[in-house]
Amino acid sequence: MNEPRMLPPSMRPKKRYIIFEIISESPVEFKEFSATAWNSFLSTLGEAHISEARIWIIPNLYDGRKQKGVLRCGNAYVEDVRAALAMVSIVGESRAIIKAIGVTGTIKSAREKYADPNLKDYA
Amino acid sequence: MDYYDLHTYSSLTTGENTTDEMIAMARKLGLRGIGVEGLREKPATEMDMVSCYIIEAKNPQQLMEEARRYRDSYEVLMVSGGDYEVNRAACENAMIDVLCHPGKGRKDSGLDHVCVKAAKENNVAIEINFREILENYRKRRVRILEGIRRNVLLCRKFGAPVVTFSGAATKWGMRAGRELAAVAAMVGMELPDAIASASTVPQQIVMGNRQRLSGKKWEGVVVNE
Repeated sequence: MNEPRMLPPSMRPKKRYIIFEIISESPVEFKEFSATAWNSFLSTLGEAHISEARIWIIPNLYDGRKQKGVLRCGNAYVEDVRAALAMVSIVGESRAIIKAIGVTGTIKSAREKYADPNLKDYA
Repeated sequence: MDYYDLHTYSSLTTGENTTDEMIAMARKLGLRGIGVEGLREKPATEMDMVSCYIIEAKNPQQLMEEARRYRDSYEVLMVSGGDYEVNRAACENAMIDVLCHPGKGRKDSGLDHVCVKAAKENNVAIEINFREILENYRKRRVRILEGIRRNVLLCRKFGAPVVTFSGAATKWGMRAGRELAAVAAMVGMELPDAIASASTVPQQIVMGNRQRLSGKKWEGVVVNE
């Protein structure tokens, strides 16, 4: 076995899934969004603070047509991540606003609460 | 406070600067002692020179062979981490003093609760390697810091020792002990423990091994003097 074992549930860090929507002049691709979001996280929050947040922008759950996606972060860092996303004003070449439309504890509850059929296609 | 940096390289092995240049820099930085990889003959200096060897093993069997071969030849025996099986074998081996950069080249932290519990039982210290942090930037640095944080959290939970070293391959990669302690505090250690990770913890490893190598100390025996 060449992988560390999964930690027992009591020791696993607590996470939240933020479902976000991008409002922009033209469609935004995942890679452009990811690069821009990371620039914003690093410049707004810094490398040290971001390493606590354990952020993962989930590629499989990004819907380019509806401009919605999901990112995962630590439960204590949701507001910091929201604030860093608010600092984004341009993605690629188009002006954009990133809005969080929900925060859930699991991907399944994200689908149920926000009834977004596209999320299930990419899971 | 006596700070020790036991993980440095000079031109004896893969470093860029000579041992004397490393010693001069360590003196300017206020370190009490440095460990230079591969050092056998200690130069005459007031700096406490520690002879160290870093095992680079591809599998646990090779690790065990090299540990047996080098244990009594060097004051501090370290293992170059990265491969999970080698990390785990190092944590389970009481001959090893320090497991260096367990998360190197990995997407995860390189350790789990099983490894850290074993490290606590066998008194294997887990290293916070400053060079890994210094030589990476932005997102890569964030991922490395995440892995180090997780290992620090596990070590705090199970009581495994933690050490903070520079891993410097040039004299400009070295840092003062208090600054290394600050980096350890940044990744989740309490400040007194962070300071100890760069001072008393490595000092105890060195002193304990020196006593054992000189024949004055045996495992499990308390000598009443």
